[in-house]
Amino acid sequence: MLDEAASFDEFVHQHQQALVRYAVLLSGARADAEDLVQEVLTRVYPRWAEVSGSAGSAYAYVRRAITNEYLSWRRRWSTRHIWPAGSELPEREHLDPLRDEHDERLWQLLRELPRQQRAAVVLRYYEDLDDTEIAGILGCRQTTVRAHVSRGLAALRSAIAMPERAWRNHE
Amino acid sequence: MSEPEDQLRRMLAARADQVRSNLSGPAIRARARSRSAVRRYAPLAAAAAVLAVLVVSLVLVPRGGSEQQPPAAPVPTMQSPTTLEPTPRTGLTTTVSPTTAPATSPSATLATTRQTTSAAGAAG
Repeated sequence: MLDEAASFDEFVHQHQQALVRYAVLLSGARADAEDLVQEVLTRVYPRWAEVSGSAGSAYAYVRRAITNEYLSWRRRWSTRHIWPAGSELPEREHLDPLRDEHDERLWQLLRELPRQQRAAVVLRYYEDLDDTEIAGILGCRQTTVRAHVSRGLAALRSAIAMPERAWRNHE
Repeated sequence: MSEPEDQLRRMLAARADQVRSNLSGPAIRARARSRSAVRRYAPLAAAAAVLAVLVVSLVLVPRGGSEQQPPAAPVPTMQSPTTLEPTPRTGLTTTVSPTTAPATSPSATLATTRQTTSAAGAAG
């Protein structure tokens, strides 16, 4: 039991940054991301011996659980009326605003993508996973993954190609 | 790799690098333990609540069935003449004139006379 607790603490200490960062890219806000990760880890801990002893890595398991939680109908329902933090809230101060205008545009548009598309894009371009791995995490076929990534990227491309004035009007 | 994909990778990495998390393993374990205790006793509490509702309904339903209320008395829809009271007018004396309206209308009187005459003719 002590070993299990120590192993869990070690895992949290070692991987929390990566997990929360991944969750931030999914959810769009640090508070939501920490809540997401904490919720998943709370659920994972009672089965930690099983998870840590399995053939696959515990990190991959928890990352998949975070993705599922992000895509779950419960979280959609509970966070439906919570809008992203505005520029006047302290959370924004924690995340220093990006100077690059293109990055800001991309970030804004990424937040507007449907959840499946967004998860597929983040898994592809942040976690560097291939179609098979993403399909395993999202629980769909590889063709679906390719469609999600392609549509998401098309939307982002259109934002990048959009001139500054048009982007302001779009917002 | 194309420009938007590069830009996307760079933006995601930059966004992620700005995040600093401060989750702690012991806090998550404590939360998991408290939640598991709640989950352990939740079915017991739910079963107790269902039993309580069952017992209350079994006790109260027969009592409610034995006490039969008498049927409600019919409410009269016509107003009796005794209840009608003329509103008193100050400074005026009520006089009953002999030329008050007859109880029967002239047409009713005519009809009655016709009936009586025809009855008399039939008898004669």
